[in-house]
Amino acid sequence: MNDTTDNRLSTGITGLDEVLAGGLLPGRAYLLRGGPGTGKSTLGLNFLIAGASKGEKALFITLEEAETSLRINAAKMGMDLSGIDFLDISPGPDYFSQVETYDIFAPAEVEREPLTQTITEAVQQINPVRVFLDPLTQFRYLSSDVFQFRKQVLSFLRFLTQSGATVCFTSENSAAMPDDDLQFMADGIITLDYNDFGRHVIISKFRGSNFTGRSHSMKLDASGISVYPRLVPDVHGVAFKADSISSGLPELDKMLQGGLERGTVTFLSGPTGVGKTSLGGQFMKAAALRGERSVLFSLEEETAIMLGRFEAIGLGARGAINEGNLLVEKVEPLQFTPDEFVRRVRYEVEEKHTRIVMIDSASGYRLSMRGQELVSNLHALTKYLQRMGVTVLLAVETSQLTGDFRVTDYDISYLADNILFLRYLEIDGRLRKAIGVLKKRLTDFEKTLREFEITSEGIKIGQPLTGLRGILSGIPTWVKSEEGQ
Amino acid sequence: MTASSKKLLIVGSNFRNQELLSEFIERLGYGVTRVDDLAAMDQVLDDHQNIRFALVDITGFDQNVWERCVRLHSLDIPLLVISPKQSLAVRKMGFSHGARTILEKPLVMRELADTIHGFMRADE
Repeated sequence: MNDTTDNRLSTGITGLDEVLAGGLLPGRAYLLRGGPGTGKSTLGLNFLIAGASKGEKALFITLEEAETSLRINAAKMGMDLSGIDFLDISPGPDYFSQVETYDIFAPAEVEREPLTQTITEAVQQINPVRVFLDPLTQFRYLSSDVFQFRKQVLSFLRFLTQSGATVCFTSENSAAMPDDDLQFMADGIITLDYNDFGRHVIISKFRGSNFTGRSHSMKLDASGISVYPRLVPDVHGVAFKADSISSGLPELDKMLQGGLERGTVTFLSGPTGVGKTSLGGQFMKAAALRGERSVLFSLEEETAIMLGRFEAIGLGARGAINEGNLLVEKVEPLQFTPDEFVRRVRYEVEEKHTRIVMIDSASGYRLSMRGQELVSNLHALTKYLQRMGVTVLLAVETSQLTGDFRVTDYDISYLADNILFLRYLEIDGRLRKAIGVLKKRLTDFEKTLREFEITSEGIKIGQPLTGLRGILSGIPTWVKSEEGQ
Repeated sequence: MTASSKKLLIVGSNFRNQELLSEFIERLGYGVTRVDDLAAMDQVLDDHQNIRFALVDITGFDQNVWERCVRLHSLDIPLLVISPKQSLAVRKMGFSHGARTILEKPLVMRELADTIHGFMRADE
């Protein structure tokens, strides 16, 4: 089922609406669950504000936090509550100071009736389109047993929804008092979570609608809530021709049988300092000359240093940047969750029409992104970029400068359509570099290695190194027949 | 004097309990004489006010509350003692000082209503 065209209600959070296939279905009741400080009330306020801003009647029923406190917190986040009615039935200070505690009757017998009457009157008077109730689990204390609670909640939610309201209600879930019963009663369940890897939102139920399951990153700060949906590559894609793009270096293009194809992932593999970023820069320089935009996400090196280096080797990055054909962006460690980074990349691809994306590097990505799912996150990101016809360059650092050859220290080789590798070589006592193609999925490629050199005039690639043996070991020897040349 | 003109005496030290109990009894259609301390209770009994029966919540009172229970009993005013918990000692003390029954908190409204109606009709 994919009914995104009906009159859904926005939650007020773009990313969450996306996860909910467009928003909440009207006339239903949704459970917001999560521990203290996970953002339930803030999400509820967003939901009400989204309605109030369109002229819908919105009602916040608070049974715990006082209206004044809610207003202060909302003001700090710059929220405009002007169109929202509050029904504050949280205990005031009098309850304590004027000895309003009692034990002659059970709270269920004393409080339920006036509370029900107060809410009923407010709903009938305001006739809200949106209701946020925080927390509904307070009703548990007003019920004599589980059966009564279930009946009361069902009846109450039915009263609200049949009055024309869409309801979001919160629960306070704990091991001692689980909210499984409310999960069964709700039409949808939105769980907010907070752990060492950051905040997350999970949709686990949405009657009558599809939704994007799994965990999505969430940010809660002074400006409010942002949700970054987990990337599902299969729902994205454009038609594109997988033609080859030139590196701008005839020798390299020859090694690649024309260049790298659009919609492919290329690993630029090699040890530190060997020239992976410069090699990527070469492809981006050529793209800029074609008038195509490239973005280099630097997860290790500072932008200024990288640009200075590009200038020093004649890659002319500043000109490309000025023309809007290149963006070099430093991603600070722990700045983004993988889902946030995806949003950033998607903006570049979908809004700025970027044709080459370079991620420098895989190890920087692993260190910078919160979370542990390096492979699955990179998989989703690269598959998305492939489906969008973007040429992906991924710098992959190998830990060993010389010695036994490895493409990557991580189990991500399967992601690569093409693998270009750079190696340090010691030839006749001199340190030199070589470049080779290890894999190319769509075309044949040159099987020999060539010398790779970075000069002030740019990257130079020499003739095939046909007279050497054991190049991948890093210490090649001359083949006998070639000796003396 | 008819039973309907008689009132229930409620004795207790918790303001909110007294308030809730008064409201509840008045909703049942009976008059209430409320006292929040033992001195006020003495005054009511000295004045020979028209009390049909008494509900005495012993919570918060000292041992002197039992003397008042004996006095109620001596005045032929039926006495129900309200106790904060199930306690054999309280039951013994209550019955030995004239209580007809001991009710434990929290009271169930429907059961309390039946009890009150029963006592009030018994006098008609």
